[in-house]
Amino acid sequence: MKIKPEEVKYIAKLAKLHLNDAEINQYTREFDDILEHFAVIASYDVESVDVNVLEEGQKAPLRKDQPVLFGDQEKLYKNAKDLKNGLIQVPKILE
Amino acid sequence: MTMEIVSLKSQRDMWIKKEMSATELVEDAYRRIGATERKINAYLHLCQDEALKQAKKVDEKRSQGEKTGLLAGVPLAVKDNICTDGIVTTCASKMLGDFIPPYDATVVQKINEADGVIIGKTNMDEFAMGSSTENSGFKVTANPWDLERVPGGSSGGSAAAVAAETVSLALGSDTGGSIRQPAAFCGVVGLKPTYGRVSRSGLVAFASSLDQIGPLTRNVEDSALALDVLAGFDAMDATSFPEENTGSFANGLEQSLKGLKVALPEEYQQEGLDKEIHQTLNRTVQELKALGAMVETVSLPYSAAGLSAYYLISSAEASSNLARFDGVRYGYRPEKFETLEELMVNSRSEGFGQEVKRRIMLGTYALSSGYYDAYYQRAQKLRKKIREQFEGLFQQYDVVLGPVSPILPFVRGEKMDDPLAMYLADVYTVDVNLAELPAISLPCGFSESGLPIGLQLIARHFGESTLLRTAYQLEKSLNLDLRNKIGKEASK
Repeated sequence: MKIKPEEVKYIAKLAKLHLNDAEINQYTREFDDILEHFAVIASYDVESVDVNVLEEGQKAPLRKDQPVLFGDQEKLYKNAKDLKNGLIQVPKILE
Repeated sequence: MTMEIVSLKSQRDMWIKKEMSATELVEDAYRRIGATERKINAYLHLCQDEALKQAKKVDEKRSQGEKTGLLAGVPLAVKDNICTDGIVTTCASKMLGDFIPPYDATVVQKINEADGVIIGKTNMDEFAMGSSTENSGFKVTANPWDLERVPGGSSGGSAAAVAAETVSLALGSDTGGSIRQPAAFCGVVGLKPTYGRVSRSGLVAFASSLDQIGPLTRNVEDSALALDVLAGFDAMDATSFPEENTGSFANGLEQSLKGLKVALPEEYQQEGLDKEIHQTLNRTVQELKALGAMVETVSLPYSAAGLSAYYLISSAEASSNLARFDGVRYGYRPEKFETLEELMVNSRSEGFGQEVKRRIMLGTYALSSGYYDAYYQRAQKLRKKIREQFEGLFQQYDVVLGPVSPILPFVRGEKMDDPLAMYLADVYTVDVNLAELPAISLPCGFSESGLPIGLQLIARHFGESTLLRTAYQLEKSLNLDLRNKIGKEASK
């Protein structure tokens, strides 16, 4: 077994997902198969590969860090489910 | 008035010659959808009012003597993970079931500027995660060649829409084969441009370092014309590539393949490759040789690790990208929640489908403490090796040839209970995304049962012109009849 149900449960918690027992068992079974297949990556010697440097000639073109007003403010909030005084409302986080 | 074969160029020419107005072309597209959609289910939303308004605008532009764009009058469809201002964009997820973007993706702006007309949004696997379009939260799309079979995915709606001849152009996105595989399954041409060639601004992110938007069309020339419109630097995408304007991608298509050097990796002909696809590959090699190309077998030893590296990296990026869907600012909100934590957890648990949860979990695992080095970091190192391997190959060869999919379009439901089997179907397409290369999926033959078989051509970074020329010459010499019954019916 590459992975245990408790680990799946813990990963779900990190990912902010609620899984029922049937789902935990299902994902445990599936991840076991998938991770077994992924084991192939351990067979390559890649110790000397440095992924922390940009390739030669590689660069990220950045634009100037300037604030720009979004034209239609109302449009931006159109998808919010719960607005109060122009602000998005969520449950209290402090008592 | 209806057209025998819908192609982007024929529609554009008809509009230029005033044989059909943009309004008539758009009305004809909706008539075609009316005739096919019940069987195919390619579209998630149609935007008839907006489309007719845009068509009218394009026609008026001409009557007033104004300059018109490259896509003038052409009706087209857009995958539903590409933001359209004022038109619902769901990513085929309940999470975004009512989401209306406040802005257009850059590619949508470009289409509008080119006077194209978006007639609808196409079905897909939820958040582009899948290879059959069965993971859509809303509907299941059928393959126009065989209604029992899947159209491929994740851009299955776009491929089916083109194959059913409702539109001549549909946009897709390709993270690990999501344009090329459905194109191969549906007998159409699918182009995945070089990473950075087309702006991703406004494409709902799945795996940002792999995602790329591209066209699905009925032929190679249309693919080149579509790329003319879509390509170009965009300040809104920091990974978009600043390039010189080198003219149309359609220029040079007629150039002969004499002296072209083609590499055929032995790893792309492994056990598990369908016999008929392999035969098509062999026949295509002969065809290329007859056209004057030189074909040699090569080895890509790192490609055996490609699939695993791809699923680790793409899932890791997805777990981060999809963290934004928490029910707070937009998207699905559950009926029951008391705390903020419950709002987030319930939104995600109820709003995401099974495959999306699976990928988020897999990615979270690969990034979690204790597993990061063994999985994510190692996958990144292998990605670099795969990239270098291709760079070495392209010092000697112009194009790499291989299959798109190891299997023919499969029957719906066949792989839904086995995620690993579904992942393995991506084995020949993912390397291209890891190495950020351009690739095109071209119909090259049929199975005995009449299912289309697509093959893939890969070129060096920003080598789309070579890719398109090779595909165009091959298409011309293969001269396949790529019309299916559904498409012919739509044209009646």
